[in-house]
Amino acid sequence: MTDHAAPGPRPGSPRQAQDLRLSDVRKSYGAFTAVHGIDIDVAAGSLVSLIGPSGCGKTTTLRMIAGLEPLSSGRITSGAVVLSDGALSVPPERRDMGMVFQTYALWPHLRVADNVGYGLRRRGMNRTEVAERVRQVLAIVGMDHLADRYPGQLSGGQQQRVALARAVASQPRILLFDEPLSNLDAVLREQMRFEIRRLQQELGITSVYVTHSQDEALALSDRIVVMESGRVVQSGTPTEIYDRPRNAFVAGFIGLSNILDLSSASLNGGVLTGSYHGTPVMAAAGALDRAGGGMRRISVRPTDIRIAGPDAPAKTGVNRLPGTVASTVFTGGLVDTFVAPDADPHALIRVQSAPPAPAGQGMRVTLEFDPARSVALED
Amino acid sequence: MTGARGIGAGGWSRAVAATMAALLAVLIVAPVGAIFLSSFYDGGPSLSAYADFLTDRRMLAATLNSLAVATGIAALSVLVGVPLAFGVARTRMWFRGLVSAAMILSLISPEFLLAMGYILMAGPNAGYANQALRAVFDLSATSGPFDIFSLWGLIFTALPNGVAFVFLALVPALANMDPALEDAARLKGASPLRAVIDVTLPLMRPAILAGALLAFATSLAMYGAPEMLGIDVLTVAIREALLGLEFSTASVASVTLVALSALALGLQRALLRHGDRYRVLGGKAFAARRLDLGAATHLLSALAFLYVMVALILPYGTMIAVSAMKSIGNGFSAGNWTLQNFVVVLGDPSIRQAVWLSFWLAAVTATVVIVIGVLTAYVILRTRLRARSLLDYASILPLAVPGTAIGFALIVIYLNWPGNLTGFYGTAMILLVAYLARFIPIGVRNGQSGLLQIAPELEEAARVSGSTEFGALMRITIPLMLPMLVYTWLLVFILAIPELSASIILRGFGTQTVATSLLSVWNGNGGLAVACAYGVCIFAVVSALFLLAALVGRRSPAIRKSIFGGG
Amino acid sequence: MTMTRPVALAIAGALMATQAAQAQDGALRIYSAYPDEHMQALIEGFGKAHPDVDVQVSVQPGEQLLSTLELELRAGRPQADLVGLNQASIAALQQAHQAFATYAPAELDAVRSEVRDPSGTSVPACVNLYLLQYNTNAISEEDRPSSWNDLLDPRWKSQIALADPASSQSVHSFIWFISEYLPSQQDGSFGWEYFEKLAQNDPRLERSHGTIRDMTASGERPLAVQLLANGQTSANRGDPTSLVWPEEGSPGEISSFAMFENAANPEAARAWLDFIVSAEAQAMMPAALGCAPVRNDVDYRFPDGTAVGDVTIVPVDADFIAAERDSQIDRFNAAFGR
Repeated sequence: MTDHAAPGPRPGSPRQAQDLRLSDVRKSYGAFTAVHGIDIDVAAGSLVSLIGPSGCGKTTTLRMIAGLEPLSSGRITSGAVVLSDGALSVPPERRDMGMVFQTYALWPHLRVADNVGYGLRRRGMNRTEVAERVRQVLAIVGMDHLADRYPGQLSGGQQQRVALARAVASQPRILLFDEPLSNLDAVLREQMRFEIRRLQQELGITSVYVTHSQDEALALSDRIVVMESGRVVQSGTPTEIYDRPRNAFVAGFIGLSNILDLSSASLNGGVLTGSYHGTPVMAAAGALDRAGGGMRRISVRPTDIRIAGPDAPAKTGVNRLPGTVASTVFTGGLVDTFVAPDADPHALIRVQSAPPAPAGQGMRVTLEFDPARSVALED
Repeated sequence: MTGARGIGAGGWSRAVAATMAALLAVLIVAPVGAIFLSSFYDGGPSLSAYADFLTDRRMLAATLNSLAVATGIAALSVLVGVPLAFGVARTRMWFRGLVSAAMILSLISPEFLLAMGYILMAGPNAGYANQALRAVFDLSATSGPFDIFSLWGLIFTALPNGVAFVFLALVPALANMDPALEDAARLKGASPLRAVIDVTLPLMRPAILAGALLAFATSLAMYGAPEMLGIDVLTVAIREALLGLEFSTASVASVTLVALSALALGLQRALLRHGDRYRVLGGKAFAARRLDLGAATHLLSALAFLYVMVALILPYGTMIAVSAMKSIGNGFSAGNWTLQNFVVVLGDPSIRQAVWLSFWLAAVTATVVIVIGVLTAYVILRTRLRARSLLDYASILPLAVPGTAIGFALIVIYLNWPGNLTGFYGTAMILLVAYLARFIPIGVRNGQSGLLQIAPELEEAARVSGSTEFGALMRITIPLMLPMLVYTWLLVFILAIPELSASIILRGFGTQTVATSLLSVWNGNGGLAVACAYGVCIFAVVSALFLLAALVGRRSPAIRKSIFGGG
Repeated sequence: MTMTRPVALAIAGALMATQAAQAQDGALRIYSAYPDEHMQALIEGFGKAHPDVDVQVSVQPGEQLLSTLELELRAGRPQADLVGLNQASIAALQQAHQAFATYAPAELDAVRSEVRDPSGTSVPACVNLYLLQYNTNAISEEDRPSSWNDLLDPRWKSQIALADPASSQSVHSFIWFISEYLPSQQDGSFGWEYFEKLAQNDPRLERSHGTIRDMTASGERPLAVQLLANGQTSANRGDPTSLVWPEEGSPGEISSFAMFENAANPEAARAWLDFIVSAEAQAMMPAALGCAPVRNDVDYRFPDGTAVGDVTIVPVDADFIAAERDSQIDRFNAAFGR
């Protein structure tokens, strides 16, 4: 029984990276629609993260890319190759992909070397070639000394490296990650995050990375696609997503954010002007092209707010909100200061700064923030 | 590869699902359908067969006998099985290991072997137990006190098997019970025994009832023992009707039998589901704490001793003794001992032929059953095809169809068009068809519990790594299920070797199996002593095979859960 | 299993091509109501004259074999070349299916004329007689019954075993003898009245005479209405049993063989039938089928030493038994209140 040999260059030889394109991809189970016609472009050699809360459709999307889940409609292409077109689908084994599973999915009855070499054998490499390639790949992830172990004899981090080695061994066209670090402890997770990034960049394999962790997405990705309820809410580079969130969901999901409701908002040449409970506030309009009936929300990152004394002189082009410190929380590298603004005493605005704490509880302060770092939201 | 293909993911599994559906339709749905359809057919659609049945005194008597025997066995099984299960799981009574071993042996050894032992022991005139009791108590009577050739005798014969069902349903539940539940009762001032009666037993009710219903259904299906004891129950009545070529009588008797079994098994499944929903035995395994019941422990030990003696040692001991007798009429006397009976068994060409046929049938059945089992379980658990729930139902259907009824159904199918075109009638092939139908449920159920232990990602990882669906199944899933598959193969093999109820109805030229040839040796074609020697050999082979299966089973937690679990 | 015959035939064909027409070879399949141990001696004897024929036997109790054959004939393919049953059963099957070929063995003339089948379908092998067998440990020689009528004595309550006509073909000979023959010959409580009285003694109705033989030997049912063949087996085994020749006489059923019309191996089947009536096979009958030879030129004594001439043998009416089988079963059941 020989499986269909994958097309393209032989594993181990250098190859041209390919892009990946999802056009209007939709997936429904009966009456329930898991993914509503999404479009995602992954540039050749880049890593794109799909991020969102559980149930947002990110894993379903990844599985559709892998060919493990048929599409209800839409197209998935890579370079000149159509992988899925509606119900027609290239089966997973002919897609030339590598995948790292959340549970690692290492085959417990095969040794580490056989796990890593499995795909190479299926692609028709002979034993000596496979052994050589397995040695190389295991060396890259620092697991060459454990090649003869069974997965059950490895720690979680070691299993993760084997899973990674297995996914990249055949130099696949596309590399897929399904929340690969969620079963590791915090220290190991951070370490593996950098290794994945290093490996992906070294090999230059086009990658899609599903995660619910903003830290992973920000640290790893060339681009981030934020999903919610089966739709793409926003996509862009990590900086774009962080600095210019389109709506409150993105602002809150990627990084911390203070959302301020403005009334009497008006647009004027890329600048949104409005009133925060009577206090005038300006913000960058971003992609916004209409004021939307005068009611608008803006996002301001806690790190973009400065705490000044109550009597600090007003500066032109800087938003100012006087208020009272409600509490301060010390979290190690940062101090969180929660301030109740005079304009809306029931609200709390969160400010993050380097220690020491800039003000104590009950003190009067003025919050200053740059309109250019304040983003008008679409919702 | 420049474009998407028409045949992609799912094409293979669709083909497998279609093949399995076709196989199950031929092997299971058709026979069950034939039983029902033939009961409503008398030249045209008709209820006349039912009317005849209701006015046939012998048939009504057989139905009542079946119900009485099954009910009696179920009730007595609870009476004996519950204390024994409690004793083994929760007390320090003696013979705990021995009792567990006897239970397993009771389940795997065919009931007609036990019937042979009991007939020799408890025949009213010459049974050894009766002779001994009459001698010890100086009774002047020439017969009794036991009469195995009676309804009570039949109940007694099938009791060890029924007790084992209750016992095996109960022991895991008792062993995993949270001891805090009893502690709470103790804190309120209950004695240890009181706490058991007030708290533990009510909690065990679903498990007890499930075991009892299983014993009930199995007793309805039993053929060998009532036939040997000459008790008219439904299975025997079906066979008699077929011998008299009264097909409509046989069909209504089969429908009655299937309906009663289905009722019992349906109830049993509902109970188990119910039990799961209101589970007080958390997923956590508790270390069963053994209670000190004082004098009551000795009572349990005595019961355990009695069970092991009566269910295992006395009947098989008697068989071993008789198997070494020259003439059964001269009993335990000097000069009446010989190994000639074993020489006859090992040398007889028709016994050898029967043994080969049984081994061949059992091996082919076990192999086909695990293939069908794995593939059907795969379709049921790993695909979203709409047909999968139909496959699920079809594959467990035979549990409610006793072998006698399957035998009858296959006669109807393979005697008439289009079944007669296969030429299966009267050949070993029709036996194979019957065996497959009988044992497919074990394959599919064990396949499912084995597959549930394997994360689907393991297969998906293989697919992404370049394996086809079939390749992933062969290289990843099947190797991982291997202990379960080997175990299932052995289990089916063990259960198929002594299959009697369908075999005896379907036998033709040279298609005597171990069980039918043993019965015919017992019924005069050789005699009691040779039959005992033959039976002892069968028992030894079956027990040795089960020991092997148990060793394999130890390697997989899925197997430990599935052994006979819920029938 | 299904391969045996084609392969054997293919080999047979190849042999015939080279060795010209060397009589019989290949497989000969016999459905038999006679136990394996009884058939074995005949097969060995046959094998000496026909070493190339592979004789295969499938044994079922008579009444079950009848039903097996009935169903196979309905399916249109009997699985054997020959059948060994009593004359009445073969006649019944022949009436229903015309499944058997007629054949007159070369030495048929030497067979006593009263046991020959006038239709020429079944070939008589031996005469199997009904008699009483008793356990000598349980019943002393003085106490033993000496007639069929003695079985009605209440002291034999729960001691007697008898074959069930619903399962046994042979016992129909005995039932005919009691219900039809004796009432026509002599007075006494014969006819169905006899069975009604016998039922009061609670005899055990067993499926086969072999089971009854073992029950008698073990003492479980120390007294039995038995066939000569089983008395012969008991004697061979050294069972503590003996035989009684009832005063009223013994019905003799004729153990026979017949070949199927479309037998796969007709040459071998004919050779078997020739062999059965040969003096050589007839001399074997007491040891083999355990019953009395059907040729006058073969010397025979019963296992208890009684000479054949001292026993009143009543040949049974095979046609009556074949025609009345079902109604006889019903009448028997009625007499036994079932």
